[in-house]
Amino acid sequence: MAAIQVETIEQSKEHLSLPTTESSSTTPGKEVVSLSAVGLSYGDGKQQREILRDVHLQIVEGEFVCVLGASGSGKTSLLRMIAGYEQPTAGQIKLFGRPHLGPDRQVGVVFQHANLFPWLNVRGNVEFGLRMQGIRKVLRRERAADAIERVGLAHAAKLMPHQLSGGMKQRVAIARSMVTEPELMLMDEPFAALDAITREALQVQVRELWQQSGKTALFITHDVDEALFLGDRIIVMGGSPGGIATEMRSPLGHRTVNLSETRSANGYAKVRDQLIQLLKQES
Amino acid sequence: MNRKAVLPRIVSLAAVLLALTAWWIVTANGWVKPLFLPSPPDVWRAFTDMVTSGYKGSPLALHIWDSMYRLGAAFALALLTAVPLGILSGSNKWVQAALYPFIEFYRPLPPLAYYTVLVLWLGIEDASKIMLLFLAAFAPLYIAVVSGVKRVPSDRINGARSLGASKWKIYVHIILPSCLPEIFIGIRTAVGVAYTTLAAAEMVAAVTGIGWMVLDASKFLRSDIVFAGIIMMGLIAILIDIAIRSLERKIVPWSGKE
Repeated sequence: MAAIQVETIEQSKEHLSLPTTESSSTTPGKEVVSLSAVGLSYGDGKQQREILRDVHLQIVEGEFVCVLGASGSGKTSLLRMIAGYEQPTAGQIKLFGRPHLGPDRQVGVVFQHANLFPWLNVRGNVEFGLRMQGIRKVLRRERAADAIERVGLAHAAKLMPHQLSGGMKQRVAIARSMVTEPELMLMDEPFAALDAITREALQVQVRELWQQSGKTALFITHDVDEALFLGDRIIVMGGSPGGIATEMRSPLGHRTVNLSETRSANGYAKVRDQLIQLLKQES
Repeated sequence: MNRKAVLPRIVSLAAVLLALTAWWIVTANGWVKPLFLPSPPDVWRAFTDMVTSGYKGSPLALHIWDSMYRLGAAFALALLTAVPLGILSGSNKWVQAALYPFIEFYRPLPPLAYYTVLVLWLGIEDASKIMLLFLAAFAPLYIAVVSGVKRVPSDRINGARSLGASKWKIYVHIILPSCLPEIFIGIRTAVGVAYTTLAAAEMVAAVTGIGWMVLDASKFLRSDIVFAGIIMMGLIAILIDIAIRSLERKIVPWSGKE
């Protein structure tokens, strides 16, 4: 196996405050997501519950950012605000340099539960975004077929969602978001409910698709291995109210072929333990 | 079909046959007067008579057709109004707040109580009958659609917006199809309620219709025709329900499997 240069958290900590200064990274691209002093609370008065406080986050074009946190750390709320489903109660969110107003077709979302439209078959689901954009049928068919093919479901294009397994549903959800070529893909623990084998196959697939597209991705997970395998940059969330506890460049980011290679990489166990310790402290 | 599904059907069939046999034995031995319970052969004869020579000047098919026309027209009107209004009410609390008092008020009223008012307003022809059936069908359908809209998962709407659907397109492409399973539940209830109101609607100033036929025959103590009519009404209701259910399976195959 190729020797893999692994930084420990100690070494990577110097990147924590200046994440884009890593020598091996390419020149900083356009800013896709920018959160400054973002907070989120529900309710008011005595009923008020603060979910997130003072979140600062910048994501540049082409990055694959994993948000790692225990349940209740506010990571899903963070994603929902970036998706435009919820408005921050403090601070500001900018997307592509503009104030963020609401859901946008430049921001694709894959949910934890595939959230397919049950009355449309696989092809209909994947074509949905193109149809909403008024793309004509022939072109729509072609692009949907290509997206379905790329997630390995060409044989299932005419099946209805209730006829699919959990893993197949998520593949459809990924194809449905990807086919409209959004600049930013948000994924909210999309593989959390899947078995280990399916999960691993889909992780590899997501990374390949991301590499082919060259777009930006934000991926939420509570799984340290998943974060280490997929992310360029790992953001650890925690605290109460939630916030970003720390962030690091993934020492392995995209240098391994699959999860088992990630696991056997030199120094992997140490980084993993450190991340788990961090998660424990923060939860 | 496996054995588990067949057995209950055999039991149902056996129970029906048993009831028919009991009916036949009781009447064949003269234990009950034909006025109270006509014998199966008499009922059958009444039925074949109606098929061949009609009832009171109109062929049986016309009676059935007139009833089905009233039911169908009322139901079509209910569908065309209750679905859009239900979708509007489900997504806008002001519209719902404005409509609810009226629906909550008339819904529990016995249809016959306000039928005379409808006759006064709309005349004794089909219009008042269709209106009565329409009112009976509207409420359950409207209520089903409203609850259907409220049960659309918010992330389904969010997901569609992220895929570029505008607000108007969300109604047509997300909310309406999402409600289809509830709409079908509403349709089955609405048709059932309207059907039971049918006989009442045909009591006033009608000269055709199966409901009228049964009521008219009872005035002349023609129990055989009354029985034949009731059995026909029951069978037609079953056929209508079978038709709706097969349509439901075809249109919302995902219902209950999400």
